[in-house]
Amino acid sequence: MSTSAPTSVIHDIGYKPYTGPRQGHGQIVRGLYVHSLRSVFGFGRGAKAKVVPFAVLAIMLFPAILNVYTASKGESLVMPYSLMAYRLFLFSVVFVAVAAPELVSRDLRHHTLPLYFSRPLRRSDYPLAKLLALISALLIVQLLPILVTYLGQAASATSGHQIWLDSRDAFPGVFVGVLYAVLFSTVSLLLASSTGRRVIATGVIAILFLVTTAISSVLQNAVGTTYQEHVTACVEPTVPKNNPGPRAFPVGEGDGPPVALVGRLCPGVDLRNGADIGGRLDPDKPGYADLTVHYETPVYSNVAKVGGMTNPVTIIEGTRIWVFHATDSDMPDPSPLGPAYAAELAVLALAAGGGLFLRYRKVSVS
Amino acid sequence: MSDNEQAIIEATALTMRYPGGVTALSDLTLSVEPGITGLVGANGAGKSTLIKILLGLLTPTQGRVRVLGLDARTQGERIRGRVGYMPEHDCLPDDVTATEFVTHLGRMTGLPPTAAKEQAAEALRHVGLHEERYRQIGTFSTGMKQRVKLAQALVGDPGLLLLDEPTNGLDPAGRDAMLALIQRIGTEFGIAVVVASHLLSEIERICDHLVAVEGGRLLRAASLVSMTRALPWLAVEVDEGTARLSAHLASTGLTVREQGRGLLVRVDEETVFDAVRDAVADLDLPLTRLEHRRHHVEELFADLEPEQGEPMEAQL
Repeated sequence: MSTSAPTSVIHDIGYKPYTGPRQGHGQIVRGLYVHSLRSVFGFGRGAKAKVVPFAVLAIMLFPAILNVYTASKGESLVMPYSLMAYRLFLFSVVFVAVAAPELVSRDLRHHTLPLYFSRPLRRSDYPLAKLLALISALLIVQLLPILVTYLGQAASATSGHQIWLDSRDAFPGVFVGVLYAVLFSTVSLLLASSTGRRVIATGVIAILFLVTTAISSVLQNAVGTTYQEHVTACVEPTVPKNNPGPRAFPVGEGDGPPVALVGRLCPGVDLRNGADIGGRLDPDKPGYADLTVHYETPVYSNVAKVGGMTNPVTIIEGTRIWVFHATDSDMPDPSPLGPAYAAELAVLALAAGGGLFLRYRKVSVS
Repeated sequence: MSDNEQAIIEATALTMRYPGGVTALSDLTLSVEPGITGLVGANGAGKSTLIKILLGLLTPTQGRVRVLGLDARTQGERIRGRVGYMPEHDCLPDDVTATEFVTHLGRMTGLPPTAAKEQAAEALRHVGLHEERYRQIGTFSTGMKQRVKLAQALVGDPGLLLLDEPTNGLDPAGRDAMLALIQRIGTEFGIAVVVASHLLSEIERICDHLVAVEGGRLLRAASLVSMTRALPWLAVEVDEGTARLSAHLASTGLTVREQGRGLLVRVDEETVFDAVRDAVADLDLPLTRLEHRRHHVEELFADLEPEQGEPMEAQL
């Protein structure tokens, strides 16, 4: 026997049966949900997979950061809560057009589904986890700007009442964000689950949203809108109150006061579609001016109102207008079709979601 | 039956008719014991249908199935938690690493997060991909991909492995390595393995038991020794002098049959190869073919009556 100890030993560890805990069905579904949510934002993938989701998030946050800035200056918001999702809907489309194929088309393309369904997952678990993951991801994208704006407003608020008012303003934004998350997720996942080719899935999703946007835009604006002219006269001080400085605007020397000022001074005047403002000094009231404002307001026909039902984005916006009696929108008030918009939204989301579950019920395993 | 308790798979009068009227399995009764079991049958013989039923993914029209002591009709979910399945076709994403992929599927099997990582590393080590586990699967060769597929089935210590054509697309060397791996899993790891294949020649090398199905019916189920006793034959073809060679070989005590233009010599022991070589050399015949016969199942069972006593002999 040798007396010197061996310098190294090779261990063949061999096979060790696993004796630890095994998770139940619910925890497995949760695991798939978390994995899917991470993959939407490119975690666990290369750097390339993170570009689009984080670019979209940054763009969505940009107006919110401006809002925080203006709030700190005591000025009104650059982009109100309720219009954030609508004005930036294009980026939500980009987000789902990339995320939905990442979630479902990959597994179709690589035929990974048999590996899932030969495990304890049930047929409905897979689409459920994927759908919840995309809804959650889109909620993050929609609600983070609202949260940032809200926190900025709250930080600049001088009273509790102001925070309450701001909360009331923010609520429609949250509501709309949820609608976007649900409708965009169900529709885009259903489309993506029809093909294993990601490029095609992305294209189909983008085309669906953009083409219907174009259709509804044509129906609402070009076909369905006529303009009605209005003339309004109002009397306003030529110098700001409490500020005996230079005149706020020249009178009799051109086209009258700046548009922004008229909007604030003459209540009820809608200047969004262009206006012609004239003014002269009031002969009877020194220091005041008589303003004559010509402006136009759009009159929407039924074509415009129905046209809004052709596109997911305007369906959500119309529903918002109906639910909150909103007047700040860029699109025609759907009244009296408001309930129809809401119903269509519900039917669309349910049909797309149901279609998604049906699609995975018949998936073959071999 | 006395070994009822330790049967891994127990199917009784299993019939599967698809809605279209196609009968995939009819009255199939079989029992699979621990060890490595080969499931042979031509394409369309019902192998895939049987696997789906065993996983509880298809409900049989009639009959009972128990897998690992669980009823496949009602306890499919629990069965799938304890059975590893390796599909026939390509099923791997190419843009994730082997570790990530196997870990994720370990999670889907029901392993907690940390255990899934450990078990994935273990499974990849067992299939011989320890060094390459952080590489993207897209960079792997066919043989390595096949090993990843095996690793994902192996993760989480299954009680039974269902391998569907595990040597598909592999070159001879890769085939041998894969078969050796399966043999190791079946013997050293103590995991019951069912290998579905249409190549009997492969399966016969590693299996303890063989189940042959055709047209959805059980053709034969037996331990491998009894089934393939008559299998090894050496095909010899010479340009001329076939009769002389036949006589010469027969005179040395070998079993010789004529088949087509050549001869079949039964390989009873290793020395047969030498005897044939020497005979050809002694007679100075132009040898054109010397081949250890490999049989496809289609060929073996082509016009076989199941009742017949020694089908292998009869066919040859």
